[in-house]
Amino acid sequence: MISISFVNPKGGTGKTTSCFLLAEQLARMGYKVAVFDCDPNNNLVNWRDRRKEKDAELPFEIVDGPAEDELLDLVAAYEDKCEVLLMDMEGTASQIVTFAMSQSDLCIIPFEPTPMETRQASRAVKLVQRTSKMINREIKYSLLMVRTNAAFQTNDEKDVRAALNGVPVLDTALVRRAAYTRIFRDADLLAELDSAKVSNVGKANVNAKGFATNTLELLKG
Amino acid sequence: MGNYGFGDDAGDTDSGSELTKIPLKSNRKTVAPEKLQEAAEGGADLGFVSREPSKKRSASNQANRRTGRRQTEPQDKFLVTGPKRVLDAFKARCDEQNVPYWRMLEELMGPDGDEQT
Repeated sequence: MISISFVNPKGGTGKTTSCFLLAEQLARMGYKVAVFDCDPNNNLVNWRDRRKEKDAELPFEIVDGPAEDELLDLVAAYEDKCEVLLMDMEGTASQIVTFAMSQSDLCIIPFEPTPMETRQASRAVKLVQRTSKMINREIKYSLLMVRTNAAFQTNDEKDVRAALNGVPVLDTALVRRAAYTRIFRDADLLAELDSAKVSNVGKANVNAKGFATNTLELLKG
Repeated sequence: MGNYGFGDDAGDTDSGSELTKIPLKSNRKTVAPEKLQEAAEGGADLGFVSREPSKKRSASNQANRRTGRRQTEPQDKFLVTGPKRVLDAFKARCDEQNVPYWRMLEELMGPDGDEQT
C-alpha cells in the first residue's frame, strides 16, 4: 500500500480538494483507493454521505478520521484493504499531522502562492524534514500550488517560485476552476460534471490528470 | 482571429484518454514507538502539538466527572465526624473511582436508598 498525506497547518489551502481530485483520478485508473478524512470539517465524509443518499457510485472509500492515538492502527488495518491510502489532514498545527507523516510515502503540501499560505507551507516542509530525520526514513514531499491563475502567473506566484530555494514543487498546479468547487455542492465526481452547466470541465479534468500523473511519477516502483 | 478548426485551446481539453495504472513502491517501515515519540517531540518544537481534548474531559468520562450533581432535587449537606482512618479510606475510595462523596454514599446505601443488609 502506498500512503499519501495532504498537509498544511493553515486551513483552506486546498488539501481536501486536491486529495479528492487525486482519489478520483487514481480510482479511474483502477487503483483501489481509501481516503481518511482527518479534517474535523468532515467535508469528504459529508460528500460520501450525500452520495449515499442519492444512491450514487462511490469509486473510492472514505473513512471517518481517527483520533490521534488511533491513526497508526487504522493505517495498519488498511494495509491490505487498499492500494493507495490518502489522508486529508486538518488545517492546524496538530500532532496527528506528525503521526500521519510518519506513515506516509509522500506528503503533498497544497498552498495558494500567496505570502501567508507560503509561510504556512514552509512550516509543513520543516515538519516533514524533521519527522523524516527522527524516524530515519526518507519521506518524500512536494509542494502543490493551487488556485493559480489559468492565464498568467501573478506577481505573488512569481515571487514565491523565486523563493522556493530547491524545495520540490509539482509541475502541475491546480488552477482555480469552478469545477473544483462544484463537486462538493452536489456531491459529484469531476467526471460527472456537465460541461454545459459548469465552465471548463474539460480543462479541469486535464488539470486533475496532470496532477495525478506528476504525483505517481514520484512513487513509481 | 479566424477559426481554423483547431478548437478552443485544443491542447488543454480533455481527450477522454485514461491514465495507465503503474506499479507503485512503498518505502514505509514500521516506526518504533520511541522514534515516533521523538518525532512528535520534534513536531511540538515546530508548534505541532496535540489538539485532542483531555482524556479527563472526553465524552466517555463525562459521567464520572466530579462536578457535582445537577440541581434537579433538593440539596442538603452535613458534617461527618468519625475515625480518621474510616473517613480517609472513604475519601480515597471516592478518589479512586472518581465519584463525588454523595454518589458513593448513594451506592453504599443500595438501589432504593435503604441501608444494605
